[in-house]
Amino acid sequence: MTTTSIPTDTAGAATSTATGTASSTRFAWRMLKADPLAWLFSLSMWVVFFTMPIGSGLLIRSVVDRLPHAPGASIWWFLVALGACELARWAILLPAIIQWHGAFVLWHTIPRLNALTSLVADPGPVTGRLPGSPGEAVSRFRDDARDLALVLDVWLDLVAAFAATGVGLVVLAVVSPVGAIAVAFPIVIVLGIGQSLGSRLRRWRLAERQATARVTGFIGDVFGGIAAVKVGAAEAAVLDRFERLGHDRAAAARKDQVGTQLSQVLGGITANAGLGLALLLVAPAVRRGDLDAGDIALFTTYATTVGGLPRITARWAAFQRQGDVSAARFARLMADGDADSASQRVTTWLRTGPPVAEPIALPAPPDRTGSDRFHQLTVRDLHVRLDDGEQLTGIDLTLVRGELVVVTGPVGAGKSILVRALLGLIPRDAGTVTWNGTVVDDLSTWFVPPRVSYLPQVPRLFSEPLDDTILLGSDRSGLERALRLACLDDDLDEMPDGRATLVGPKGVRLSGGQVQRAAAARAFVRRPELLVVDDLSSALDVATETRLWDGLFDAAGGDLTVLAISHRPRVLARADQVVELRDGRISPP
Amino acid sequence: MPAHDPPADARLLTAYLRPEGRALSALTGILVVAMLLPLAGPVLVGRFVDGALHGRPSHELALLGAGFLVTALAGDGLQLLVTWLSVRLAWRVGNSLRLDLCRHALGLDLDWHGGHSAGQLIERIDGDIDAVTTFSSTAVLQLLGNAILVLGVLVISAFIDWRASILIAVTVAAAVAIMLRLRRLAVPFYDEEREVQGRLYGDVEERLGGLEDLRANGAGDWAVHQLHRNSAAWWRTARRAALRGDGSLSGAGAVFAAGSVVMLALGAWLCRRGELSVGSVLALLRFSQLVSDPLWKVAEQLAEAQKAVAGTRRAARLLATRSAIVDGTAELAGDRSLTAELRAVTFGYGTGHPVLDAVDLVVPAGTSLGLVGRTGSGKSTVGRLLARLWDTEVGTVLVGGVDVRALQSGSLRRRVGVVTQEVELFRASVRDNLTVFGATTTDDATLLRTLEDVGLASWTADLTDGLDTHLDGPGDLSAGEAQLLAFARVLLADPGLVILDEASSRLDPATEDRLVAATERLLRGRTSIIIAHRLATLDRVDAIAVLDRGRLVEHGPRAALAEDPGSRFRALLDASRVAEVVGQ
Repeated sequence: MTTTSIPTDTAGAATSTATGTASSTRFAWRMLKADPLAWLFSLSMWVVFFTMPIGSGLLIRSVVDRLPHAPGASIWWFLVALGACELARWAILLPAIIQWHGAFVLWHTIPRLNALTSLVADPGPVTGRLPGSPGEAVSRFRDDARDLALVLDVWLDLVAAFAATGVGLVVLAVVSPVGAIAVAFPIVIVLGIGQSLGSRLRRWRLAERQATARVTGFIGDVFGGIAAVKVGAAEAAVLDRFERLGHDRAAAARKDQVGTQLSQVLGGITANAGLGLALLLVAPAVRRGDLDAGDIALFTTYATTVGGLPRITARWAAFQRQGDVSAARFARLMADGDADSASQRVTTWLRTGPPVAEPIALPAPPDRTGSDRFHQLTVRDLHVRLDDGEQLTGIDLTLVRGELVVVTGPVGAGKSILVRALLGLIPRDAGTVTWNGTVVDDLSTWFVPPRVSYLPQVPRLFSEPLDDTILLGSDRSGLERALRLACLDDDLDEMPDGRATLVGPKGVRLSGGQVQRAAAARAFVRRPELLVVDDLSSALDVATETRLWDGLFDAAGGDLTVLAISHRPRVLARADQVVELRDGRISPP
Repeated sequence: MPAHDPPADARLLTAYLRPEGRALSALTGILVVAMLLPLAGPVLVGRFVDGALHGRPSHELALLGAGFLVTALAGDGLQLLVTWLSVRLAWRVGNSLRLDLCRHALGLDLDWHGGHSAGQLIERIDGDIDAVTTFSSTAVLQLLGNAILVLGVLVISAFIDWRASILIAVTVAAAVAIMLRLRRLAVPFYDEEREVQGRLYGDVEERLGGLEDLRANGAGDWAVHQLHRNSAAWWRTARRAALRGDGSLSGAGAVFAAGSVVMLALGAWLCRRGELSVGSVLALLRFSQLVSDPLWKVAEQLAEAQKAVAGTRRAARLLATRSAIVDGTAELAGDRSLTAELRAVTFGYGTGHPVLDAVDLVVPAGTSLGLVGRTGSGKSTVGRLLARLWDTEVGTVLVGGVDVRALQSGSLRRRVGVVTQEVELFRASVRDNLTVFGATTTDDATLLRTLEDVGLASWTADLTDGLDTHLDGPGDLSAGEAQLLAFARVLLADPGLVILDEASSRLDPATEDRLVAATERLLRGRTSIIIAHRLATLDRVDAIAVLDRGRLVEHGPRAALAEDPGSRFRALLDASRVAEVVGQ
């Protein structure tokens, strides 16, 4: 297996991937293609909304032209038409905006679904793909998704504004070519300024993002470990640090926001400049009588329409550049590191909600065939290197159906790394793993139920009813058995809502032992061929632990294969094979 | 923590803006000029048209054009200055609000935290306030600037024709009335949308944190399905909120549009009667459009404003949440060791099922107690009550002879050290992890010596940046090493009462024995309560207490209990010895 090592420095990675490529444009374009109707429907409404003032302007000109002379009654009909035109414009806005909100949610959802699906299901380890803390990871799903959705949004404005400006300029050119050029000229200037401001804007945005990620990461960390903060009486120190991080972030954010505003104000300035310039240039023509009052009225009304374009262009340029950063960051979440996978078409179910999920039914162990049925697992010459050096060196291991293999050894010997590398949760540098004699290339997608279940050393439960956090979508039929085997049945009697009791984040309401046993039930309910257990008994007393192992082996009737990390003599005594690790190597017995 | 009454809703923002009075007034001054300057524009254009119609010389017309250009540019320049100042202000205000929210959330009890994930708190402390700052840095100014602009327009148009001025006033009033009415209707819907988003991000945060659990248990589809569900809920609530929130925009826009058409009709009528020049009609028309133009800018911010109102409301609600644990005022004496005592304590985690049932327990200062019992028997709860992470409903908990409820919690927790099995590591430097972001102030030599004392010497030697090495997750240290680190963290605080709650359960027996030896030395002279499954860990404690389903069923000197063939402790010892022997 080849694993590309991913730089841990998020900043460096984001910059290096983001430079040079117009990735946010491509990203947005692919999202647009995923559901073109949503975007096109919004666009059609937007174009109508933006271009209607062109018609209004012509009607106003007709009125103004008839003001000083023409004594006839004809101007009232123009006014009626003008009123109808204006009211219609606002009437279409509401459905347009409601539809747009749905589309905006859709554009957030596409990269989120793709990223989450890739993180939970794609081959290869996930370490290095996610930023440091879950809090920071949330900002990928929240802020970066938003930035990319905004790119698609600004395209709507851009296309509609271009349409309106194009039509407006053509009309103006017919009236006065010089005036039309004067009005159009500033757009070119703003684009030039935007270009030179661009890289700086992107740098500021990146700095702001990093500062924000540090703040959200810090909040996530602190409240994820709130008990430690409280026990350590560290509230004041935490606030101190929080204040400092907030201060740095404010400095970065000020630059970013003022920079963005600057590019927008530039748009506004040039719009006004366009009208002023036009007035200066057409003055002789007006003097000659080539242009009349109605034409000047046309210039003033169109100046607003055309003046909107530089502003929107500037915003588009800024959003696009900011989106580049976000697209690159999304790419890093994907298994293949490709932004294209994050922006690919995906079924979303926004309108109706997803269909009720079919419970995942796993065949009972006796019915399993082929690769689902386990005979033998071998590991040959496994090497693992992490950032800080060689963790495992030349590990060989063989497991046969029905065996209990126990990995033991001192703290830091690499026991957990061994099982996590075997499960494909962290990358390995070398080594062959075969299952029933067949070489397995991607371990992370192979070592899953019904073949393997894993009980981590520090299990994470989710904030759901207890039974849901155990089942995680799998069939309910084995729940009773799993709860019994995990020795949770007594605890359930004491819980307020039994198995429907809501388990708080990180299981605050559960004791350490209960969390571990709930995680054990989660592994048991899948009735795996091979059960991988990282230090199951660390939170259990001897009696409970004994009951648990006895129950497990009795229930399996000798047909249970377990790879366990343990120090307990009781477990070691049962073992068919004991692997002792020391400094990342198997120490000879 | 100052115990002031939290201001509710919108009053909250005012409370935070009050100290910024001077900055606000300077900002307002500049804003007035910035908004009023461009109002010269339509008048100049009107003059331009009238001048052209009356055959004025072209240099005079050019001068009017140049005047238009200059006033417009100056107005834009000042706008930029306003932005710069307001962004600074918004961040000051936003950060002080964030800080207060963070402080308040830190003070809330663990029961509350049990119901709120870290992801939710990120939304509450940061996401909501983001909306508030975006709002106060842009939308508030747009609103204020708009008001100034409208006033200016009314005054100038009154000079042209009083009827026109009234028409503009009526239009603006009607549009604003529609907006406000509908906006109020929209707030609960925006609230709902934010709640749904909070759940979405809270779930995502948890799933990302438990990614390995999800993958290895084949639960990816389940997590994706939930994202589908949350996204669909967001889609529904977003559209529902848009109907109300943006309905107001659409209505107000229509009113403004109608207003300018009527203005043109009025101008035409007056012009035909010879009361107005064509240029003045154009100027009035432009003014009637000008009051609606900035509406767009406000409208762009309106969603933000509504989010900000909802965010402020939630912030106020968070600040109004009272901790179940009310801080006392007494300070704990600085004795080297502290007595720990539970008097007739009956306690459950708010569920009605008592975890501790009428427990009386005294650990005299300077002695050690081993606490045993099967999982769920309430052992950990004893530690949590002593550190006052929870308050007991019945009975009294005393540390150093003082009721913990009378003590200032910082003073209590600085002297009570707890090492649990769940080690909470922060993604920060080793130093920050040891001192909990500087809560304990010690020099590096002490830090290194303590690391050595707990048996982390070789681990420390391998650190690339020494104490500044950033710990970034489980890759950097094993669970056992993390436990040793947590142990060092507690020792550094020099506690008078140490509670080791399964503190060595993730260690291999050899390391554990070394740690026990080290801890014995370090705990000498301090009071300690040691909770352990491995009874060998308790070989050197002074006394043993046995808990069974929340009841204290046995308590006495360790030696005596171990001798007594009828004691429960002896039975446990025998059982574990058999297990160990079988294991050899």
